[in-house]
Amino acid sequence: MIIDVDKYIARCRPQWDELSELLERRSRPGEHLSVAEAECLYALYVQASADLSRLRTFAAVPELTRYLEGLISHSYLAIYQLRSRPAFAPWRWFSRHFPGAVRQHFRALALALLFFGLGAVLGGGLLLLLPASKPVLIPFGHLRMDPSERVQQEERRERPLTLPQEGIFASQLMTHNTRVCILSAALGVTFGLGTAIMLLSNGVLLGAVCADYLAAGEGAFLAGWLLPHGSIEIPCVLLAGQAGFVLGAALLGRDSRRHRRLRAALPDFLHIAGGCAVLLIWAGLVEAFFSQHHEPALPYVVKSLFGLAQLLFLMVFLWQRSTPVASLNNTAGADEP
Amino acid sequence: MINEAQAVAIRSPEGLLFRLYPAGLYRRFLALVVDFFLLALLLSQLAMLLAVFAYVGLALRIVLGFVLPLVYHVACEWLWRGQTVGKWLMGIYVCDVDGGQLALSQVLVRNLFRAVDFLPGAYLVGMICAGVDSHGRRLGDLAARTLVVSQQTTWQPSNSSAIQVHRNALRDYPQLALRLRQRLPAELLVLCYQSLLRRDELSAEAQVRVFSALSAALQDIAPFPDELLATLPAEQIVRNAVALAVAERHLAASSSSGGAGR
Repeated sequence: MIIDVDKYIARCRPQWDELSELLERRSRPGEHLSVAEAECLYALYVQASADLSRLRTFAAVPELTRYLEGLISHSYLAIYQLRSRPAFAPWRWFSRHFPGAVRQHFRALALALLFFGLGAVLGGGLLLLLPASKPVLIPFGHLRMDPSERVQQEERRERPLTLPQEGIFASQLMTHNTRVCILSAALGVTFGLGTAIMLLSNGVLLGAVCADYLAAGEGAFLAGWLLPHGSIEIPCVLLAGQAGFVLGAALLGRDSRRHRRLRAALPDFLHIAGGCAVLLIWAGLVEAFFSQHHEPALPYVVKSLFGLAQLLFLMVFLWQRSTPVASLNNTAGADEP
Repeated sequence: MINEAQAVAIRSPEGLLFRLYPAGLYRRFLALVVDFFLLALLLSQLAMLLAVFAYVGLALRIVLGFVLPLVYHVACEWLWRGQTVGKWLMGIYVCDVDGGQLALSQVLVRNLFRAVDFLPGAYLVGMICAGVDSHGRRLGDLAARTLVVSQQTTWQPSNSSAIQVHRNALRDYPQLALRLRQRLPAELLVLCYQSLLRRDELSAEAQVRVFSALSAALQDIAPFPDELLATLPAEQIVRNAVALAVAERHLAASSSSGGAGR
C-alpha cells in the first residue's frame, strides 16, 4: 500500500460523517438546508471526491471506495438537482402541447395511417375473397354473428344495458383501450416494428368488420354504431402509432446522436400518448352510454352525424395553429435538468 | 451483491469521477414484490370503501386498478428521489444515466414502458433485457435513459476493518516475494505503476482486462499459490507486487547512495 489507510480514515472520517449527516438531514421530508449549509455540502462533496481519487490511485480498499462513491453519488444528486419543477397546467398541456406534438410529427402520423390503411384493405379484401377466413380475421364473439341477424337482435332490444352496467362497461373500455394504446406506442422501442404490427392487426380487424357489414347491406347500422366512438378511438390508435414511430425513429441508427434524439423525442412521445389517454376516456363514455343505443330509440343518422361532427372537431382541435410549434417545444423541455 | 463490471462511471462537471453500481435483478424483483403487495393492500381497502356505492363503486374500482399502480410508481419516483417503498426497503433507487435526478418525462416513460417490459407475462421481456444489458436496464430504463442503482451506504469505515483489507498478502509468502523482488523487470514495474496511476481513465471493463493481463504477466515471473489467486483480485495482486518491488528498490537505492557517500 502506498498510503497508510488507517491514518487516512482517521483524518478524513469527521468530514465524511459531516457530509453524511447533511445528506441525511436534507432527505428528511420538509427539511431544507440553509445557504451556508448548502455551501458546506458542496465543499465537503469536493473534498470527498478528492479523497476518493487519492484512495483509488494509492490504495485498494474496495469497501471504503464504495462507501465514498455512495456518499459522492448522493451529494451529486443533491447538488445537481433540477433547477425548477414547473407547475403542470393540464388544460394548457392538452390544448397546446398535445396538438403541437401531433402536428410536429406529421410524417409519423402519415406512416401510422399508411400501415392502418394497409391492414384495413388487407382485412376487407381477405374477408370478401375468402369468407371462410372470418373467424380468424374477427376473433370477437358478437362480431362473428351474421351482420343482419345482429342488427335485428340489437334493434329488438329496448335497452341493451342498465345505466349502472353502462358505467362499468365504460370503465372497462377506458382502461382496456388506454392499455392497448400505451402498448402500441411503447412498442416503438422495437424500432417501430411492434407499433407497425399493432397498427396492421387493428387495421385488418376494422377492415374485415366494415367489409362484412357493408357486404350484408348494413352500412347504416355500421356507421351509426361505429362512428360515435370510432371517430375518437380510431384516431387514437393512429396517434398511438404515431408516438411509437416517433420513438422508433429516434432509436434508429447507431450514431452518437441517438441519445440526443431520444431525449428530444421523449416529451413529444409523452404528449401524444397522454393526449390519447384523455381522448379515450371520452371515447369510452360515448361507446358505453351512446353507441350501444340503436334504432328505433336513436336514429342512425343522428348517431352518424354526431360521430362525423366529433371527428371534424378533433381534426380542427389537432390542426389549430394558435401556438408556434417551436415555442411549445421550448416549454415542453422545461422539466429537463 | 455488487457487480464491479456493471459499474457506471460518472464524471461530474468539476471533473470528479465516481461510480454507480446497478442494482441486481434479485433486489429489483423483491422491490417490485413489495410494491405489488402494498398496492394490492391499498386497492383491497379502497374496494371495501367503494363497495358502499354499488355499481359506481365497481366502475371506480376498475379505473383505480389501472390508474393507481401507475400513479403510485410515478408519484413516488418523482417526489421521493427515484424511490418507491419497495425500492427504499431494498436500498435501491432510480436516477438518470448521468447520475442526476430524474425529470418528470423520464419517470413517466420508464413507468409507461412497464406495459412492454411485462410482456408476455411476469416481466419476461424486462428481465431478458436487464439480463442482456451491460448495466441491467429494462426497456423502460433504456428508453427513459435511467438506471436503478444500489445505495451503498451500509458499510461504515473504521480503522480495524481497513487493517484487514490493506495488509500486503504477498509478504505471507517469502519465496514468492523474493522472486518478485529479484526478477520483476523494470519495464513491467513501470507499466504496472502507470496502470495504477491512470486506472481512472479506463472503463470498468478495461480495468478488469488490463489488470488481469498484468497479473498474468506477474504470475509468469513467479507462480502464485492458488489460495492467493482465489482471494485476491487481479488489481490487488498488481498493487501488492508494485508496493513490494518499489519498497525493495527504494531500500536498495537508499543503501547504495549511502555507500557511495561513505
